[in-house]
Amino acid sequence: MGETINRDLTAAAIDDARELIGMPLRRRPQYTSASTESLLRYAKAVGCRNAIYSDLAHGTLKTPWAALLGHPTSIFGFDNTIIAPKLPGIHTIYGGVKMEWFRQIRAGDSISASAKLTAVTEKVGKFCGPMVLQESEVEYFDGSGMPVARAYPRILRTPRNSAQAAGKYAGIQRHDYVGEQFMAILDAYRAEKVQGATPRYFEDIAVGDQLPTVVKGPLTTEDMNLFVGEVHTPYFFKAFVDHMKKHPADVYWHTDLNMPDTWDASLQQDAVARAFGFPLAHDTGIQRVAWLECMITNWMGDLAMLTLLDVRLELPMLHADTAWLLGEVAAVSIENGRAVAELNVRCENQRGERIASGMAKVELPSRNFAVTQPGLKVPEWFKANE
Amino acid sequence: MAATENDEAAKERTAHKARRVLTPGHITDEGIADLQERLGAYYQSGPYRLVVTADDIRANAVANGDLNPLFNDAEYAVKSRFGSLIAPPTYVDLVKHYTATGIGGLPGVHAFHVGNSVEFFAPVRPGDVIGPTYRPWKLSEKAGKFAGKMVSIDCEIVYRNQRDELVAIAHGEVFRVVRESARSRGKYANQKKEPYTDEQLKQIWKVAQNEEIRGKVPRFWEDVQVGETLGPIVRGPLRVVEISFRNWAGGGLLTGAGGMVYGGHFYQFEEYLRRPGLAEVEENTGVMDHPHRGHWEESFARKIGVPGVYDIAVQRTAWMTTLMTNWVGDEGWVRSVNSQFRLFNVEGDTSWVTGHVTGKRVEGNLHIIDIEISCTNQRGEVSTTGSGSTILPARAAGAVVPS
Repeated sequence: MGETINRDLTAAAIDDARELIGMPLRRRPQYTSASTESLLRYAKAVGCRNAIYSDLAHGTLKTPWAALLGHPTSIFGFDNTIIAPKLPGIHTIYGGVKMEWFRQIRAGDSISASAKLTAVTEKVGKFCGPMVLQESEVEYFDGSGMPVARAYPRILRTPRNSAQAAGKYAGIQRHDYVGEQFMAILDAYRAEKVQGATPRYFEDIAVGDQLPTVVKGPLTTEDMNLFVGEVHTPYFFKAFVDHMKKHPADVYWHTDLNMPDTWDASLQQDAVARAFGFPLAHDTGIQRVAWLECMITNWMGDLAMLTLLDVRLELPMLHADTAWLLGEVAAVSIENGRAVAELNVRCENQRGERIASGMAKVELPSRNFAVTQPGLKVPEWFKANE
Repeated sequence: MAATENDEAAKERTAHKARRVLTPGHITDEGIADLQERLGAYYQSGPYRLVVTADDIRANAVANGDLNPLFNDAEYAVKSRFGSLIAPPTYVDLVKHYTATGIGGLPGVHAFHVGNSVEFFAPVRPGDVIGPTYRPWKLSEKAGKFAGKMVSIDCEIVYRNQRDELVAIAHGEVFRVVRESARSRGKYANQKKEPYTDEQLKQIWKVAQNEEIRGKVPRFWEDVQVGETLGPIVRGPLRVVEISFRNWAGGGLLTGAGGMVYGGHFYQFEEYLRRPGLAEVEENTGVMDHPHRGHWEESFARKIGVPGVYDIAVQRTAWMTTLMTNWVGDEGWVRSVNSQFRLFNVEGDTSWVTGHVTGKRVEGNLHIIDIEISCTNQRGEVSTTGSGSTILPARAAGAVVPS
């Protein structure tokens, strides 16, 4: 009978993981080019209400970008940043990621990514004992080798201890939205605001301004289908058999069928999720990064550009949970001739628990002629209008 | 909020509370007459996909378990007679799904894709834009072992490319079945999950890892014997991710069956509220989820009488087509595939797809081989019957193979 392999964190396994540091990793991107369709699909997958990412005519004809734009987080289609090599039989928890963007993603762009592990650090976790933090760097380039974005994911590896987890999570069920709860969520969707074509000027914002709340949820199996399809390909049939033989510890064995399966089944099936340390089927983690980006891009307007987003995930998001995305302006400044707003952002679930938090930087348009437009690259010798 | 908006919201709250109780639809004479009136009329022309990309071609092939370099490796395919990467013939199922659920009607009455036939006329390449028309063709009432009174609907889809060339024609047949009676008739009531033995798994893996793709070596029509066998190729044991992410790994605005994709989060709920009877409220959460989630969620599959998460019919049509594309080689052409779905494949089922040559004929300068194809599961049951025809190169002068 096949048996799911759970291993301990040993010094030997950790040393073996360290050997990969600095070496280019073999990754499995969903896309090699950002087509109109793939960008529209991503927008649909995150429930996007912003015309600049979901309406071909809007971005192309009504903005200076003169194209359908991809969500900044659509870059996950070129490398999903879930980088957890080696340490077979050890659980993977997406801890968070810092992302920087150097230019917009447009329909028609060819994008490729290269990823490498940068650090493997032993830690002791508050809730789960010994852990290893794997940090990586992903660089995304366009067809001429120019940088588009960079991501620095942080992945936690902990022994699965599935029996222990089963005890800890016993009785956890999908949230039941009684009374008016679901209606309140629908009301929030209807009230969702997008700044869009009306510029949000740097001069008009202030520290303490709250970003309009955005809701994403309750998380359904269909949401998972849509998003996962944009960022991840499972192993199918023969490819799975080949993978399984090389990486037996990656395999979850269904006991009722004696059938092998992979960790991505935990995105849809509760039994598999429990074997990998979660109480129920759950999100990918990077979805919350994507939703926080939706809140920010809703607020910032068509002329602005998101240049930095750094998110830490704090608690799992399970099927039927709802994510409330909140944020505020933490600081405003002119940096190198650009008008920058720094934001504090967070994600709370339907129980009011904080499931993610972080910060972001946005370049905003300004009425001041001395300020460079968001995202605009100017030669060194350029002097703005005085 | 205006007065009318308050009324709308209040109506929705009432309707939503009512939907917490599972209310199946019914097959009524009025519903059938309404559908009858739609035959022959064009519905929802227009694709679910935009420009064909190399990424999506490769993803579609990979999701079918098809490692043919014609569909996966541009460097290889450029040197073939096609001059470029081409899509698996059944790629068109992502442009427009073969089934007739898009015409709506009979709210709350579930739909099962029971058969289809597809003819392939021209290859699909990166950069192509495929546009379909779609119309219901035929309607009849049936009674079956599975679910009592049923209605069968046939539809026709014609696919063209950006040069207005005919690419493919598909006919899809759907049975509309009341959900409650599906469960109570219990065709699958005695089917249980049986664990595989280690020996069975080894056998399956051996067939999987030895799947033969003929490739460059031509298979000449003259060399084929009636009775000759194709395959088997094996697909299984079937995992839920191989079902739910199949269409998505193929990319596109499609998941499950029937092209019913509205988008994440708000877009789903908006559509479900707009069309009462489309989606049921999950009893344990009070929230609606996709009406076709029997393709990835076991509790919903069981609710409608199927003993596990069940596969998507077009996957099987794709596997049967792979059997033929593997066999005809780079110089051959798969002209058509027909499938009749007799049994569901559920999570854990393994399909052996086999074929044998039933006929050799010449039509003008096309040298045709007819093949009977079936899928058999690990219980020895035939889940799918079908056939296909292929066009092969021939040593005879003037032989033509479409490219």
